[in-house]
This record gives sequence, structure tokens and C-alpha cells, in this order.
Amino acid sequence: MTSPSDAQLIEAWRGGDEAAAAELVRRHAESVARYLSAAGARDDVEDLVQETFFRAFRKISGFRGGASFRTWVIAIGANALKDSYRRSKRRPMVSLETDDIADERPDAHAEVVGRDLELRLGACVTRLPPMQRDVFLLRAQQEMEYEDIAVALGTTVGAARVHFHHALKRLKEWLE
Amino acid sequence: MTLNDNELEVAARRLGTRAAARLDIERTSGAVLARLRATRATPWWAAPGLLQVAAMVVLALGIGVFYRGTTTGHLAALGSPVQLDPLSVDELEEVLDSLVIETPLSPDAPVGLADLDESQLTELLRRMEG
Repeated sequence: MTSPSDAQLIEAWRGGDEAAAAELVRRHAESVARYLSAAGARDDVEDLVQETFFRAFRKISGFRGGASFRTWVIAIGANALKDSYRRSKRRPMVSLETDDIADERPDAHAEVVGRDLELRLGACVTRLPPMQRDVFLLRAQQEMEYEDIAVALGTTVGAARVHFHHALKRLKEWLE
Repeated sequence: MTLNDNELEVAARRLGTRAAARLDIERTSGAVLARLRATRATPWWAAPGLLQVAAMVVLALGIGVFYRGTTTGHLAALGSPVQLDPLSVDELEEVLDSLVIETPLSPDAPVGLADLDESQLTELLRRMEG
């Protein structure tokens, strides 16, 4: 038996099926958490993921299916993060995940170099203008199509490509 | 250090993976459903935002009623001397006799209204206004 599609689960949730909503959280919570963390959420990632899905299910009637459910939820997460900044009046900060840098394995050196780049990239991503940051993360981190990104962020495919190009250029300048 | 797009995208794909790994998905899912249930159980008119608005409207109305009452009472008090105009001297004396004046205006205060000078009448009216 194949598992139900996101569209089927959304329809079931619209009919009041809580199990369908729980399944949608299971499928997409990690992606939302990765986006939120990379976009500058700190210790409050779990609370923000919760807030994101709560908002999404509350306004599920606004989901028209133009973008994928995951892209749509991440766009809601971006707004939840913005509201969180506004409430706490703090600037976005990169979460420095340094817990496993001191690794003793033979390939540890390459991994440390990779982690170093990842940490610096994380810090630079939060310095990007919000639209460039979101397009970059949705494209590079979440591997989404430009069409999906454009619908979710309320822009055009062409503009999304330009934002991505500018983000990449800036990040390379900052990192080199 | 020269970076190519591919290296950057590989690093980007790894961003936030540790935060995601720390996420307790079942707990998150349970918390979301609990909040949704709580929202559904609350009638639309009892939503916190609406209750706040209702409380503010009631408060504004209360302040309005209180202010209006105070102003009307004050105007009524101001109007009392005017109501004395149609009274004759005898009637005014009768009114004065009915008033309990605890402190005389002066040790040799006259009892008849006709004996009062302008300043004493003003003082008397002021006392009547309260």
C-alpha cells in the first residue's frame, strides 16, 4: 500500500483528521528545522517549528497547491522567524553547531575543513538580505525548483534566479 | 581560498542538519495538535484578541459614562444659583432658614437676606453650590 500524498493528507486534515496533520509534521518538520536554523534561529528552533505548523494548519484553506506543501510551510516558517525577531528585538544569529568538530576518525581532517566552511557559510547566510537568504536556502539547502520558490515567496521565476545569483556571488566574496 | 558553486551548495545542504537532528518530531507534532484542539474548543467570540477588544470597548464606554455623569453633576451644581432667581425675598429667607449653616459668616452675621452685601451673597451662593 502506497503512503498518501501530501495533497491527500491535506484534504484529510481539512476534514478534521488529526492523524493526517501529524503525518505532515513528521514528513516536513526536519526540513523546516533546517531552514529555521540556517536562517538564524538559535535555541528556539523546536518552538518555531511548532509555531510554523500551527499557523500552517490554521490557515490551510490558504494553501492552493501552487507550490509544494513543504515550500509553503517553510515560507510560513520564515514569517514566524521574522515575528520572533520582532518580539525579541534581536538580530538573526547563526547557530554555531560545534558539538562534533573534535572528531578523532581518520577522515576527521576533511570533515573539519567541511565543517569550518559550513560554519562560516552559516554566519554569512544570515547577513544576506531576507529575500536573497530565503531564495538561497530554498534552492541550495532544500533543493527546490525555482517555480516552487517563486510561488512560495510571491516573486517571479526570473527574479528568484537573480536573487540566487546575487546571493551566491556575495557569499563567495565574503568566504574567499 | 577559491570556492566553486558546487562546494558552496554542498555546504549549504548541510546547514541546520544538527538542529534538525535534535528536534523531537513526535513531541512537536503532539504540541501542534494540542494547540489546534485548544483553538477549536474555543468559540470564535472567546478568542483572546476579540476578548481584548471587547474589554477595551467596555472600558472606554465606562470611562465615557463616568465622565458624562461627572460633567452633568457639575453643570447641575452650577445651575442651582440660577434657579434662585424666580424666588421672592420672603421665599429666599425661607430657604435660608431651612439651611443649616454651621459656621456663621461673621460673629454678628445678619439673619435677613436683604441685610447681606454683595460679597456675602456671593459667599452664600458659593456654599450652596457645595
